[in-house]
Amino acid sequence: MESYRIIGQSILRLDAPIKLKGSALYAGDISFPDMLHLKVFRSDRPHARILRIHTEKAEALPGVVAVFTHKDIPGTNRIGPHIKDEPVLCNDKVRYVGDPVALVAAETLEVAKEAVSLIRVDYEDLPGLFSPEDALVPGAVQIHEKGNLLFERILLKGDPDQGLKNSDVVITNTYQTTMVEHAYLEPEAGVANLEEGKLIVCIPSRYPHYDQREMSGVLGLAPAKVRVICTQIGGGFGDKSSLSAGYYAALASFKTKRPSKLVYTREESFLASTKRHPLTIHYTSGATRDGRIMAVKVEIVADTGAYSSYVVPVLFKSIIHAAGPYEIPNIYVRARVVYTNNPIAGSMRGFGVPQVAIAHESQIDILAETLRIDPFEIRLKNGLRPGSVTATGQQLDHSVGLLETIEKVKAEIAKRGIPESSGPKRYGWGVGSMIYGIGAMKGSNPGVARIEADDSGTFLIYQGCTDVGQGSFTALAQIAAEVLQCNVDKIQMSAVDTDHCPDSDITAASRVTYVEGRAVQIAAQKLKGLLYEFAADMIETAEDLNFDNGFLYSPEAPHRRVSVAEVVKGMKGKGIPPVGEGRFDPKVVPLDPNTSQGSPYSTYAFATQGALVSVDVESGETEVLCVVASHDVGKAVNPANITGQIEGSISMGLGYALTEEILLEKGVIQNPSFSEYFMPTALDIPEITSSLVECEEPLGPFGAKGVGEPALIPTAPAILNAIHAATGVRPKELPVTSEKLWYLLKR
Amino acid sequence: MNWIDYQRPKDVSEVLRVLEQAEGRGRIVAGGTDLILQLQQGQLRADLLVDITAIQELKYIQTKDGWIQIGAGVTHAEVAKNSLILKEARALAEGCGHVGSPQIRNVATLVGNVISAQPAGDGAIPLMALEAELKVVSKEGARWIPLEKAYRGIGVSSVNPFNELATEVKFKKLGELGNTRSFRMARRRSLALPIVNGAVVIIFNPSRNRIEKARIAIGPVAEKPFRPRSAEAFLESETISRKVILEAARIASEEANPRTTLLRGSEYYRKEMVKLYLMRMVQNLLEG
Amino acid sequence: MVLKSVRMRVNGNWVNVKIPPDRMLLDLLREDLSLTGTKKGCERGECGACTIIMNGKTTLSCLIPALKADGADILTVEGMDQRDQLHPLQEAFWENGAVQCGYCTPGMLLSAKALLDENQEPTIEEVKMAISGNLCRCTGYTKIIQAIQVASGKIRKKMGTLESAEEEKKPSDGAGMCRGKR
Repeated sequence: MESYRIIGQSILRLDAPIKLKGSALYAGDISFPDMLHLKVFRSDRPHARILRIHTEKAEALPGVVAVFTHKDIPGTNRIGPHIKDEPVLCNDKVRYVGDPVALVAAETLEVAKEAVSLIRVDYEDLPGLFSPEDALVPGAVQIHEKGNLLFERILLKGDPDQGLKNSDVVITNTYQTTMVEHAYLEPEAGVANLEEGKLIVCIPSRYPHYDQREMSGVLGLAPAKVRVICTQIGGGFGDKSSLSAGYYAALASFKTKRPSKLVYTREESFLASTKRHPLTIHYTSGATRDGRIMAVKVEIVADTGAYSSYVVPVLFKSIIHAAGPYEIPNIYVRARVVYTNNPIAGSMRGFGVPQVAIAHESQIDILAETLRIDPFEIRLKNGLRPGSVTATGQQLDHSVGLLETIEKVKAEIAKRGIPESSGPKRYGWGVGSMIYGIGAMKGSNPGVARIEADDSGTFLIYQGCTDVGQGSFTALAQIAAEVLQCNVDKIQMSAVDTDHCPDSDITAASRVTYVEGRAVQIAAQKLKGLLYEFAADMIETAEDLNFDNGFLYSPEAPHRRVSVAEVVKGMKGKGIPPVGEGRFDPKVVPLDPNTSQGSPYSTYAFATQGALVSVDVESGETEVLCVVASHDVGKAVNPANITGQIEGSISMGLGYALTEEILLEKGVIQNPSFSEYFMPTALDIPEITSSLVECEEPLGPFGAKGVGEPALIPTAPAILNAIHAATGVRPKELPVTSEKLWYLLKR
Repeated sequence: MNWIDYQRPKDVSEVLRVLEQAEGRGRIVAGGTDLILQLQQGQLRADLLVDITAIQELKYIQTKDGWIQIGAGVTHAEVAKNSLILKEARALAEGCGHVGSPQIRNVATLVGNVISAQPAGDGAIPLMALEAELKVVSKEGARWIPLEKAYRGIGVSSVNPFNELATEVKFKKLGELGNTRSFRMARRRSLALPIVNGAVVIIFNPSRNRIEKARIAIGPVAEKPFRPRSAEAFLESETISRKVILEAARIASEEANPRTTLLRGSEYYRKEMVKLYLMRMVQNLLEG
Repeated sequence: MVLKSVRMRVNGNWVNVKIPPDRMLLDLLREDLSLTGTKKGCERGECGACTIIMNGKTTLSCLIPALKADGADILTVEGMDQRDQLHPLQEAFWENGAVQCGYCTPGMLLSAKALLDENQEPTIEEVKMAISGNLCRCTGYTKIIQAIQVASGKIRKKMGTLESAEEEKKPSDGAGMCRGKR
């Protein structure tokens, strides 16, 4: 394996110092003079026709500058990343508790709050539908015009029915996952201002260029009239990429010609942010006596809530990954997405795969138990490897590190052993493995980057993928620094600003290191080429130059050298821009519309995690003592940042498995606060050991692939399997609260 | 405006003067970690807040004439690490150590936990088992009330915050044979209200193998911290054995009356957990 | 509306501010003093992002009326570094990868500082307890706990209380819980 100067080093994060000093600016920290404060009036009922909105009392309140409703939207009032079905301000109906109906702009926040309390709406209540089953009943009220079944999609490989006939054992189980919250610490916020006829919007965004397009459409403006600047993001995990505070700030600023600011309350964030799709997964697996999986048949039903948001790619991803990281010759998956009057489900870390992983890892564990085969052995037997054909018929040839990750976890667990049962405490290790396609699920999603060298020998990178906190800016800077043979402090990452940065598609799908990183690498290589050419001219040599620490020199005569700064000055003098541009669009083969066969991703991440739990069998309380993780990341650009992602994900996975759920009663969230939504605290986390497997991805920058979502996927499956190992009972519904487990144990 | 004025008197007599002048529009506040939220959300109203946390004379933990006395200015954090409390009433230190989070414990007061009148107040629960008494001061004078009488309903104290001030909570030392334990079950280990919590106070006579005195407090299974008196009586009535402890725990779970809620769980499960945890605590206490 | 005067010492400097009587300390810091380092995560005392040190104790500034802090000594994250040199905790957080999105970071730093001011050599459990009121969604706490332990070593070295043989405390491998019997 090649050794690098900077790739593979745990370079300290570039953005950490300002965050540590408290000078990093998040949208909520920004203020302008003469600024208006905004508050959204939201629906208090899950499904109703709007007859009339009474804003007069609110408008009359001293200090209120304007109250906006759908009538005030100059452009289009329907947005959405795929299907444009979501209103910015509801016009005909409200479809979930929290649906935005009106926007107040006032001189102070206190006045805005009071004004909101003075708004009244005449509603005609409609029946509410709170489960996909209810929504699919013939004759049920239609939430959207086109009906409650939003879409249905099938994946078909081989002959699953025959495959099951050829199996010695066939097992069928139903798994139910729950709605969970992103729960980033920074609540949504947005600040907007009109400057010289241009609308500037400062927001935490995962895709500023998308927000620019969407916002300009809402306001009836050309996109060039809207400049979106991405602020520091206090956590994304998939959201901060759809209708959010920034849209309302933009509308208010545009209409009032004054700066405007909206910060969501935490309760509002719970109501209005999107959630992870709860999936009902009905799963049949068939295997031969020696443990080879012959066929799987899977039925998935997804509750997408009131609007479509990101459900289309989420469900695509879930059917592609439903079979798990295994080579299975016969697969049938059908996924149906249903509208309900529940809160909106959308994009959340893992994008449908954490849910199906619960199912495929439980199923393979049950097969192992039934066939009396070791859980590691059955995974090694069926696991994907170079040359394997995936569920979509794609042949993998490189960068398939699954088996190594399984072996590593197996070895770690063997090293650690298991505590002996004492009293009511039982212990068990469980395993979960996963595959995850890297890259946005839309075909073309090119990464684009531009690097400019300046007079001081510094390199500025302009690209469109934002850092949500995962450290992407540092990784991209490392990639550039490696190519340009300089230290990372010579690289500056531009804030993502639609005025200056190219559209690099979304910070999502764990694609930034792989897709955007490759674009940055290409851009840096091109710039390096230009610098070489010019420098060679300056030094008057025909030799290949060496490039080291800001200087270019001839290896034969190292004293004849020239600094980057000098080269740049020279180039500019001659009218040659010292700029390199790069673009990388991973090649994919679109999926067949009937069978979903194709090559949806150009690379995949693989991982295995093992979890040790202790269960108090008299109370049902589960504690996760230890998690060992092994992740195939291609090439670890920054190992410390990667293990940081893994540790953060394990915490999220722990919550997903055991304690987190959005409790709904007739569409109303019962626990919209941090005190009643139980994400793990520092006292709840296990000891974690991570190891990185590097099966280099030749298409990625220096072989790198990505880890942000893969890190989350195996955790909950491993915990569920561990509970089974410890107690003999198998939970199939998330979260596995102490009460749920207690009832299972009693039976 | 959530409140119009905010004062921090330096002594108790000034507090009473200020309250009288405010003619019912002034309200006592200590740490404020519950009250401030309720005022901001409009659940309660007050024009003037009278903050008692600057009063030095209310900041004490001391022992006198066989009683342990804790002033109204003492925070949960201070109780949790106080050597006298750790020695004489461990369950109280433990309970206080579970309130909210470290930051909340630095500001919220133990007496405030009683005044906020929640059925599962982690400081109030052990006080209930310790049969504590509350000193209430008004312009009419001072009176002592048993802790149980401090609760009028969920979230409603019988101490009137507009013209009365609770200045101290006290309980009798348990003596050589006395011991305490607390228990708590919650969805995570910090920042979580309990599914079930409780404290046990036992005076055990080893020579007779009997519990001379058993006092138990459990929450949230009633409108206030709950004393399962039949269970207490049963523990005192027989020579102690595993069977007796189990039966007492069962009786307590019958007496307790948790309601099924989405957030805390089903009535049946919570009763079973009362039984389980109470049994374990008493067992643990006797073995330890 | 009658404004009230309040006076407090913030990061070593006495300030005098006129505020509405129901202003909370968090808003006084962020709006009136433009110290936006202290973050607003929930405004209900449930997340710890607004943690500051008041009179030597960690406190949730979203639950403290500004008038309650009259005369108080307040430390925010902006007061932690000394003349452009990072506090050992800030250094340790940086060096140990304990900062991701950064939103919980100011609150975490102050909870950690309060711990180390009182206890120079905390155990892992004590570290976890000290930050148990600070939620973090990005890091899973692991590197934060590591960083605090490393910082304790840095501080002891600075103060000369570190045993020379011990050297700067290496992050614990924390494997204790997992070593079971075979």
